[in-house]
Amino acid sequence: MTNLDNLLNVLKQGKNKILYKIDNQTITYKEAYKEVLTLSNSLSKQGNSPVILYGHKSIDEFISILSCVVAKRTYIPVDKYTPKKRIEEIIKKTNSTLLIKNENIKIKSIESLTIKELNEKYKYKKKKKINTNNIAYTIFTSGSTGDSKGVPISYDNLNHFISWILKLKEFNNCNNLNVLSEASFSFDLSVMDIYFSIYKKNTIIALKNNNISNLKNIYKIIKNDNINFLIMTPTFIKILLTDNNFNDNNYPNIKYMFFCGELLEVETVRKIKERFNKVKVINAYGPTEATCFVSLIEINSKMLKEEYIPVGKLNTSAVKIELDNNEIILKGKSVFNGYLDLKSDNYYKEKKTNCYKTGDIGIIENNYLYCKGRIDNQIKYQGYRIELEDIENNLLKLKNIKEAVAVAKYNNNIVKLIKAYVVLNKEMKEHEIKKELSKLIPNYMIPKKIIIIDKIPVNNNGKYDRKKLSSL
Amino acid sequence: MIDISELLYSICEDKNVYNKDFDLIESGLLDSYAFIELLSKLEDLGITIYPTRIKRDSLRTPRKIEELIKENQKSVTE
Repeated sequence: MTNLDNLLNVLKQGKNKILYKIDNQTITYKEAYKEVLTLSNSLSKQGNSPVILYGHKSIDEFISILSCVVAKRTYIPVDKYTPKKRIEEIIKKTNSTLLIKNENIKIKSIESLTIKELNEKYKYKKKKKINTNNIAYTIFTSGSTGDSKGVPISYDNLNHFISWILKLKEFNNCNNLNVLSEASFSFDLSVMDIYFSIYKKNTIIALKNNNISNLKNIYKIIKNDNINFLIMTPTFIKILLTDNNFNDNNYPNIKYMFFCGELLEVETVRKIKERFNKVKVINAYGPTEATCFVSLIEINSKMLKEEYIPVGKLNTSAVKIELDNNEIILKGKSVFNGYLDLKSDNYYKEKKTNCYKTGDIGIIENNYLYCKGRIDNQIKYQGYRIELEDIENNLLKLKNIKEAVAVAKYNNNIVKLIKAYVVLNKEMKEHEIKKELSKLIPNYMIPKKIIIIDKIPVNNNGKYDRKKLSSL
Repeated sequence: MIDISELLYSICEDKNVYNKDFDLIESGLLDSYAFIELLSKLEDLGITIYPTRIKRDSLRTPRKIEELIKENQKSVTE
């Protein structure tokens, strides 16, 4: 029996322990077991297509995810901040016939129901055939064509990932902890939040909106909910570290800090170690295409003497990691089987093994893996993965824009802000462009600054001179 | 006296920050990166802001940030 086949039992065994807490609302393992049992039944009766889970972080969204896993229906988490046009595109691409409305939305192209409505409607209906679908979830990420790109992760991928993290010695004593979950469900870091926590019998304390306007509340939650394990992006810890009071005297329960999603700087870890003497700092690496992360390493003080921090050890990784012309290649069971609607040279099969060319520049030294950036125009901005061409192609969808280039401005290898240069056909103000663009792409992808120019500079090869633009 | 608009402009590179009542959070200008940079630049100028202590929305507009700095300096001299 696989870990996912055993999910209901695991929930049942957790009894009255709190499984998920958000905004002072809680659900225990036992309550979650009952709700997942009911909802998965309704889902089995409704059909077998993928299911759009529309909402933000909430108990309902969490229960919907687990219920889809039990009912063997592919779940597609779509955050409420996603523009409607992108949602419609996702519905079309995935052939979904159901949207679970965990937040209000009016959408005509699909049957949209709340959990309560779904359970009532299908209570007395007959069960359809058992689903034979093999995709557990599909996460949509930025695509260079200007459309979002679906990354389907199979039950085999996810089961392999769960078995692997359960065997890791780094997580040996990670049972019965309070885990802080920062990422939204449409970000693959949440895969770690959910499955690591459930199978280790932990309690997830979720942050709804890590907006800096209410930072005080985040510190309060970390303190009052006795957080032991933080799963986060390096940007998030940098925010927390802005307050000197964030240290082990005031937060003595913090035992682990787990990072993934973007470059973790030496300086950041040094600061953590100064403030939290005994905390274990774990850095992990992996793209969405390989189910969350594939390698990890506990950072010791010796590693802080180097320019970069390692992102994993080769001998304990979830898949085989190789370098091809400095590009990191992943081969193994947690690697996906190709994009939903897009042919790409980035994935291939070697005998029967799935392989993925990550586009990340890697170095292997003494069995440690280091990641030093990208070979293409993909960037990481506050943990989000963004293709600069995605922004450009959406700018070009606007009526009055003739040419567009998006560039990232860096500060110490970290993206500081995204800027775009545009050439117009007809006058348009910067704020009007931003407003129109926000109907097409999520907020975090909208350039901070849109500069209107007459001509975009090109390099000797006739291509847009991104380097020159980036330094302006 | 620190010119907060100049400081914000050096971080966000957006002229809107010269409008003292411009909503920095709603507009997305003061995102996490800009926030980290703002606090670190203020610290370089000898002003330490403690996010654990500040009220909700204290960083929403340039004017509010100015008030926060004033309060901070007052409490230091007292």
